[in-house]
Amino acid sequence: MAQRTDIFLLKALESLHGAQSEYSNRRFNSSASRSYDACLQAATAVLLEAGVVPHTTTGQLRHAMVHAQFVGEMISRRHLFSADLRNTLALNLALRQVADYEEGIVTRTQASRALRRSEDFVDAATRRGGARP
Amino acid sequence: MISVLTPDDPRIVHAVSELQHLVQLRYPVAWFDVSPGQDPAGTYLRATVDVPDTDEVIKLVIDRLVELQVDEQLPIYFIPLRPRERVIAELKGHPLLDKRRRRVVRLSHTLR
Repeated sequence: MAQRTDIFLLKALESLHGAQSEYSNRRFNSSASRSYDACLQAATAVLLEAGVVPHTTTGQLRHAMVHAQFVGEMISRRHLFSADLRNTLALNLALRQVADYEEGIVTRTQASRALRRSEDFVDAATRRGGARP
Repeated sequence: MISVLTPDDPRIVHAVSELQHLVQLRYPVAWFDVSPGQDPAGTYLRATVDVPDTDEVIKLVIDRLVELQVDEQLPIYFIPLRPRERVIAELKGHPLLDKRRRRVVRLSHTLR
């Protein structure tokens, strides 16, 4: 049966598919932006699943809370995810800021790296979600 | 608990200075800008460096940046940029900016 966390897992998978599609069509800014969204949504799903969630999934501080709780709680304290994922949210957010708001452009190489990080991140989150009873 | 802090909060000032120092060790002529931002809310440190790949710049600070965000709960963000003129120069020849093709193809009316 679908659960509350599946809402964000679905969003994460849609965003990841969007990032892959945008990359394939050489829209690298758009791809990088979607890569970050996929990670944020996957992290939110993981936190909801673990019951560590921020009381709200919206608001100005949502990104910061999700970053801090995913890395601090799920990686550092509970060791539920590889430390290799520790910097993923921060790296992909920096690129998303360039893609969406700054006077810069995301290169093909950067979009490719972001997409790879995003695939690893969402894959880990999906496996964790898929392991629940 | 993470809270909104302005760029002049002493903890933010210290964190910004630390990150700037890490970049300047490798790129002494890096140019910095600090300002508040909203998406997400926090303080944004922009570092402009004339390098082909700005991932080389964020690599210098990423571990410390995540520590500041996670362990010290500071809403601070780092954005590496290249000089604007470099970016503009690379836009030349981009297919989406070709004047003959620069138009919006409407698909919405075909959707049900």
